[in-house]
Amino acid sequence: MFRDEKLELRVGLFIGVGIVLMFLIVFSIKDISFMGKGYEINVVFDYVNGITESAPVRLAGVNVGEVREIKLHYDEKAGKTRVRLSTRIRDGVRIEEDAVARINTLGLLGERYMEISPGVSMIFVSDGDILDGHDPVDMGMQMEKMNEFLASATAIAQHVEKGEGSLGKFVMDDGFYNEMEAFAADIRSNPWKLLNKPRKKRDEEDEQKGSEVSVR
Amino acid sequence: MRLKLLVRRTYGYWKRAVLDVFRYTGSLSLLLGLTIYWTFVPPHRKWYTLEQMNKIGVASFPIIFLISLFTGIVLALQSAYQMQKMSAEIYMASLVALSLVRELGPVLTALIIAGRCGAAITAEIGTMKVTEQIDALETLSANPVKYLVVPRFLALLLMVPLLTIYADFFGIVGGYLIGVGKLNIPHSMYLKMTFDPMVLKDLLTGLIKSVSFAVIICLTSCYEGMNSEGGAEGVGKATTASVVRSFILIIIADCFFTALFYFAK
Repeated sequence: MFRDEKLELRVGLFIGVGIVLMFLIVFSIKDISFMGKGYEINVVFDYVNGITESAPVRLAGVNVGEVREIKLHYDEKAGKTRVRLSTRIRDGVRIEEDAVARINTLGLLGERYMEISPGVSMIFVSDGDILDGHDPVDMGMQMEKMNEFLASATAIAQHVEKGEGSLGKFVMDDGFYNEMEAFAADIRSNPWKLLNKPRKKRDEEDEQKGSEVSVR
Repeated sequence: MRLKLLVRRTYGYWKRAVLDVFRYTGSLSLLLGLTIYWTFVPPHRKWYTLEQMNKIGVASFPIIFLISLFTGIVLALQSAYQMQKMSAEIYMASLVALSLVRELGPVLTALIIAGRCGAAITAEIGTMKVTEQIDALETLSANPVKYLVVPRFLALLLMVPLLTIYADFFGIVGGYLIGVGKLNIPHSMYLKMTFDPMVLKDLLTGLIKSVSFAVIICLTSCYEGMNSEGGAEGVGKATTASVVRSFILIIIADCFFTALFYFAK
């Protein structure tokens, strides 16, 4: 068959530019640099607030890896179900043994990520180590506790309103106030009462003075 | 009595429809098997394949360029309009890039190629069929599948993914023009928001999709062409059927692959 060099050139140019474009896009994609390299650490939480696989992991606010796997398991020692997050950390990033992992929320769309605050230990975690996570605040749980607190506060307030208990009597009963007022009025009209000592005490003091004198 | 007739007719209609679907699936699979078999059997029609590549790939480039560029622009404008309400225009870059690479790039390219080249293939092969050139080929002991289908199969298999890459690229360029030119998103910020949320899986699934679309286009258009009969009118009918069926199969395959890649556990 005849050879058409122009055709060859055109098709070759088209394919060449296409492949170059593909490589351009492929190398602009960031996650390639993570593949394979890096090490794995496990972080254990009681509650993870809906973090997803491939959520970013940050050390002191810098992206250093991602969450690879989320697994529920029953912790026999603690006697409860816990969550284990397997995370892939980039090579060259060192995490102290006493670093603290938390789960935070990012941006207005509520994307979850894992934040690791650096520790002070001289020992660094290595591949496969387990890090203890600090649980994020469960809003539902907080609301529940708040409700319990409000219920008991309401009960106390009801007791007070009815004038029950010492607090209730103090707040609702006029007796104490009346007595205080009478006492103040009495003191105001007879201020010398403040200087008055009961007889017994005075005798004791006199006795003490007497004994001092005798010792002298 | 009338009811009985109606039931019988309805039953006959649906029976034929279901059987037709199976027959069509069967003959397409048969053609796929033959094509793959003959692809690996030398000798190859190298220059004819190159010519097909030129017709399908290089000649389709301008329309792919224009359509993907303007799709990117429209996508950027529409999403920016919505996102301005939340003052989240920045995310428009991610939306444009991801939807192009995952979905619009492969599907738009496949639809354009099905309309532009699939129709041409059907018309070409169909005309050969009705003018008995294919019978002549068989008389010369040249296998029509090897002689006509394999070069087009190879050309489509290579060119549709390549055109998809071009479509992805120019679509992103279109979004970039709007994002940077009109919405004043900084250049580096736009590129960061384009490529940060993208993972290799997005690009790869797009390319796998486009390869499967290429197979669909090749099979439907060659099948319709080789089964056309009844002169010029028959060729016209075959061409219409080829385009319609490739469109439907492409969309169904797209749905299937999206479910497979993103929702299968």
